Amino acid sequence: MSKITTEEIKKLFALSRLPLDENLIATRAKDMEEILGYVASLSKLDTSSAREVHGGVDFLNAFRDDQVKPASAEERAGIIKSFPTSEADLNKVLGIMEK
Amino acid sequence: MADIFPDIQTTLAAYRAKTLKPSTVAADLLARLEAENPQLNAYLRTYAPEIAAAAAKADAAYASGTARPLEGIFVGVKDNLLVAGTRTGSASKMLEGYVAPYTGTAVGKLLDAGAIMIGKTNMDEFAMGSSTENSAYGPTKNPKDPSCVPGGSSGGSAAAVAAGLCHVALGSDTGGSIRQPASLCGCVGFKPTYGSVSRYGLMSMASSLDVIGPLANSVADARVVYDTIRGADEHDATSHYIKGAKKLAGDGSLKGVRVGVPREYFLPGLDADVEGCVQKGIAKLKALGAEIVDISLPNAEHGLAAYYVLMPAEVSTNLSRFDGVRYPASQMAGAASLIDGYVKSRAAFGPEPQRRILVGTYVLSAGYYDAYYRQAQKVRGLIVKDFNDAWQKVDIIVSPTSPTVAWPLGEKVDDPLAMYLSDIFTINANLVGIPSISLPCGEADGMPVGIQLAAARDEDLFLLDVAEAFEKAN
Repeated sequence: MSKITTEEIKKLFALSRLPLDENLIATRAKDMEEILGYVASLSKLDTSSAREVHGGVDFLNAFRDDQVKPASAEERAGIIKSFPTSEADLNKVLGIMEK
Repeated sequence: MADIFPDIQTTLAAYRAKTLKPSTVAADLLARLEAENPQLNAYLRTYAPEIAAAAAKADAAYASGTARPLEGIFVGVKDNLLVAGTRTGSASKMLEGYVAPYTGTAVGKLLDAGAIMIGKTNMDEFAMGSSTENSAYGPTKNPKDPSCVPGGSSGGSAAAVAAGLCHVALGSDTGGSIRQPASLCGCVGFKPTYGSVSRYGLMSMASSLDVIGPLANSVADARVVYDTIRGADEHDATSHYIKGAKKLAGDGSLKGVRVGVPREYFLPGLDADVEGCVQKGIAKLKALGAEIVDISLPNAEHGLAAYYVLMPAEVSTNLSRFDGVRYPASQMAGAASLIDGYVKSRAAFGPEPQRRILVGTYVLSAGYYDAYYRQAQKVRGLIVKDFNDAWQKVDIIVSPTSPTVAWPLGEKVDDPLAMYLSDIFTINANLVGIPSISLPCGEADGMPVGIQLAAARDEDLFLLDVAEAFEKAN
């Protein structure tokens, strides 16, 4: 495992939408190096004949017809109450387009 | 504890015989919570008025002959399980102020059966940890020795059971989070087959690995909870009814049961006293009539590494929903832009979720996806094959649950990799999706040791039968 650079850590924080604390860059880089160093052992395994497994269950398609099932009034009110900022019963968020 | 929380069937029989009333148990429980929970921190929140009111209703149900199957059974619920109208927060500041708008399937089934929720149990933040020290609301202490961790991430549930602060508790298990704390606290922890319990209403950590299950004082109590909460659910496409067919001889013995001992699980690094307890447990299985078989799971040792690629990848995806838009804890107000608001709001994550999100983002990044994520999925495939091969030779696989007993608070908190290694024996059951249970099997240095039994997928009831036979022989 190669060293994680400061630039890489900064990029990962940005991609992860996490606030960058300059004081923590060295600590997080060390954590990453240790964890990625540990999991690097996987690269030595011959997996040429292995199938990729995405879950512990071999899924069958669980099809059903679409049905509109409204939430109960209490559930709806609870969800709306969780909005950080609301107007009437709408979730008020900042615009996705910047001027 | 036996005084107010004997096993579930004894309690129900006493309720029905009118020799005990749910309200009497509730009064004792509330006094005990007041005396003990501030020190243990097993529960983040308890609901005294609601407990008293529900117990009074349970009294009336027994008096009128309308009691439901679990009327008056007191349960603790891990803080990542939604219960309508209650604060639910995965022990994270990210969900400060959040009140669940609906009740998840597993909890709902217990409540519909008459169980009474005591409160929400402490946990590692978003179930990420093996000691419950990653809770944003302080660690839980091990009831056996309060200077030690209870294990994690369902450490609050394990401590509540071990301290006699409930009949049973619900936990969730993504890489050992039910079984490892059960082992460290000296109780029973059952991780069912993946999908046999609906995950609806469980805050997702790693969706291909997460399972809800019980922590209990006995296998019989764990079975009562599992029988109540299991089954297919339209809200979870991975949920299903189990189809296991294996049976015991029926004479209390384990005649005809082949128990595999993987040689890869008994290597240096395993505490010698822990190994001694587990070997005695294996001898007990043999004395009960089981055939002990030496087996190999050649890729099992790579499970932990595969897990620490796949789990963070799923974590980084699942936790992207915590963005300051949907939940009350938000720093959007005053943010310069939507992205700025996301970033400021996500400062509420503690160090371990941040660490795993960063690792997950890395292994899913362009240029690293094939080397890490895809390779880990293939290794998962190799491990699944190892276990499928093993089931051709054996019915049960036995191992330690944890390589050590409970350790002092703070000992591993700054060493993430050392903390991760404490799950080395539990991870593979999640990667493979099989049922697995931790049972008390003695003590080392005065602290509990757990033995882990696993069975093939969907053979949950058979596994519980074997576990119960082992427990009765103790």
